[in-house]
Amino acid sequence: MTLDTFYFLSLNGLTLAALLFLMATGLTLAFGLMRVVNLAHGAFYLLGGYVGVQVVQETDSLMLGILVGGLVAMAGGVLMERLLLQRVRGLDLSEALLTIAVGMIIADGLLAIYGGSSISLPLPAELRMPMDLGVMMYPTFRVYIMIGALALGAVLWVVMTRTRIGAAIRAGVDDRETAMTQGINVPLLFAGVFGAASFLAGAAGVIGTSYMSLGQGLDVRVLMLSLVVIIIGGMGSLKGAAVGALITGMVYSFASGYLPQFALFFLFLPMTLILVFRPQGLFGRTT
Amino acid sequence: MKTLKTIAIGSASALAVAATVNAQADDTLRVGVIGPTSGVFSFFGEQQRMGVELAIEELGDEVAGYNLEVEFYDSQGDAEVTVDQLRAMDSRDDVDIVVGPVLGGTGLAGLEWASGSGVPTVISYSAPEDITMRDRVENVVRAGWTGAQPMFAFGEYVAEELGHEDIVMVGQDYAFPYDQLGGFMRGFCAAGGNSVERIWHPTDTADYSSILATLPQGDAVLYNGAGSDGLAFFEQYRDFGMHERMPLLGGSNFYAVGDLPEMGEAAKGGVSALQYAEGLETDNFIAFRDAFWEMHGEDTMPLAPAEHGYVALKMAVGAVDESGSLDRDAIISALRDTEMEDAPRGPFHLDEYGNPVQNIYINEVKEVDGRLKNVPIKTYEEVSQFGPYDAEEYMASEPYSRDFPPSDCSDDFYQQ
Repeated sequence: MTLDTFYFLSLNGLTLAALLFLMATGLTLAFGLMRVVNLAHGAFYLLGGYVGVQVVQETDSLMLGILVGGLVAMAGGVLMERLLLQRVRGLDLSEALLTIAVGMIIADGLLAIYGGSSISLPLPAELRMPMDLGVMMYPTFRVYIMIGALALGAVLWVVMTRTRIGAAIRAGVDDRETAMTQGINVPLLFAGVFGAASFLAGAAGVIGTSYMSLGQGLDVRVLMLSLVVIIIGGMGSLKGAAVGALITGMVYSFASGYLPQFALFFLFLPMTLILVFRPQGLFGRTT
Repeated sequence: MKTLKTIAIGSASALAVAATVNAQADDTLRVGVIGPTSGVFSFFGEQQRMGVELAIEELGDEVAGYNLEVEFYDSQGDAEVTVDQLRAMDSRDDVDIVVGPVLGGTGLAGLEWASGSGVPTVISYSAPEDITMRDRVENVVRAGWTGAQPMFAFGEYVAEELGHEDIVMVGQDYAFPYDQLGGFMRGFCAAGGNSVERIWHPTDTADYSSILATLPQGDAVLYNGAGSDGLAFFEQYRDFGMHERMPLLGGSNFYAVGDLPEMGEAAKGGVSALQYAEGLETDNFIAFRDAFWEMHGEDTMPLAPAEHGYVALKMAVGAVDESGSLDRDAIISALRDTEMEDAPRGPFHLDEYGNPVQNIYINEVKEVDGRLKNVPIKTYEEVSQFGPYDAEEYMASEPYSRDFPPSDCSDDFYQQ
């Protein structure tokens, strides 16, 4: 392997890791707080993607598209939490099945509205141009995706460690029952975290379409990757989501670079090992 | 309650009587058209439906002394649903001829059903070669193509006219791309090509950046796939500036079916091969295209699945016209003799195995009247599903697979 190829593969892995981090943080926080594995998370990626790309096509504003895509998914997430999930709170199986059902309904609705053909995101030419990173030229928008994920990670870290909301979330993750008796507005907190998680998924749908064409079935694939990330990192852990995304992105990149036929094998191998030897994940807590 | 039940039974038997009367009345020619009109592959099914509707309008309600009744059935792109629908056509709706299926897997399912039921069947866009080769049955013919058929000519063109000697192929890891590459390699190696390096990826791979990072050097890249994978590959290929290093050639569906509007201007100059081209300028084609636009609006370009549906229905009706009866054997034998001089894609006739012998067009993406189209730049006439090879010898060799035929043109396989 030449050094150039190494840089190339590493940057590709980092780009994918950045995108997966967007998806996985929401998934892992919602799980940590509410013990709900939101299997509709991929559908929110699809929902935000379709609506956001349409907005970009009609207004030529990328930022507006990402924002609207995120907001639509957020609305969907909050509605699902308030109207449906709340009613089956604590019934693990019902909650999981409910999120599957919602995910399928959303994906099928999108199929009816947007059809089965794939779409791409029209990006301004300057974003597609390569940027000189010193070690190699790399497309500008991919660099921005990485920077965006770093910024998001920093913001989330500050929110989680320095603010009251963050303290409430951490308390909820650590010991839900006790935290709930301490005067925290639980319904608001739940809806807020679920909304934020769905917003990130919807925004990721628009951002990801900059290089992965958007179409039916991508919801399930993105969800699977996100699950791999949080299982490796540990459910409920923000740090785990970051490390899990890095591992998954890098493994996928190097595997598909050298053994594309076995990319899926290598992708699920670390997850399988973790599940067997460290079921709580790298940074998860044993319950 | 009792009355309700009586009514229910009464109406059920009335229905049954009506159905029997219907079935016995042999003044009606019933054609069942099957394709994925909903679901992920609805693009293909909708194209077929629109083509069939145009054919119905041109034929009128009465053909060869029969009332023409055409019913559309949705396969949802699923093999099991396809078989269920086909069974319903035969046992419930008493269909005389089947048109479709459209996709690879559903086509094989349709073939298996047809070989059991004996219903005359005109397969439209579905391209697995064994439908009209190793697994052929008497009552099944094809209006479309086999996966390898356009690629013999394409391989020859790439070696001879474009002068490429070493090709890097990236393709979706399933049967249809194997067939496409098989045809390509035979044509390419026979015309002086040197080697084809193959990289197979699982279908629905969204991220190609690392495949591109380790792409070997060659004279050109052939992307052997289509759909969302094809679109993503196309975009990422350009993002990394690979198009400046090696030109990007397409498998038959890459530029030709569906993705072109999303690819946009950047697709200009892209070369691929098919038995169809929406940039044809022949009188027959323009008449077809204009009538299609008149019926379905100018936003929808009639592509190969639409033309194949149109032609398949005309083949079905033509066979009844020819045989003058609804007798299955008569229809089948007339179908097998199909010759269509005025098909929109160009003249064709069926070979003795039931697949069209037809023009193959080498197409280049060009902008015509403000619209991106696949425009023919070279035509290979009278190409059969066996290319230039002897049919029996061709079928005696093993079916195309991930590793067959060999990648190196100096292999014994190519010296026969």
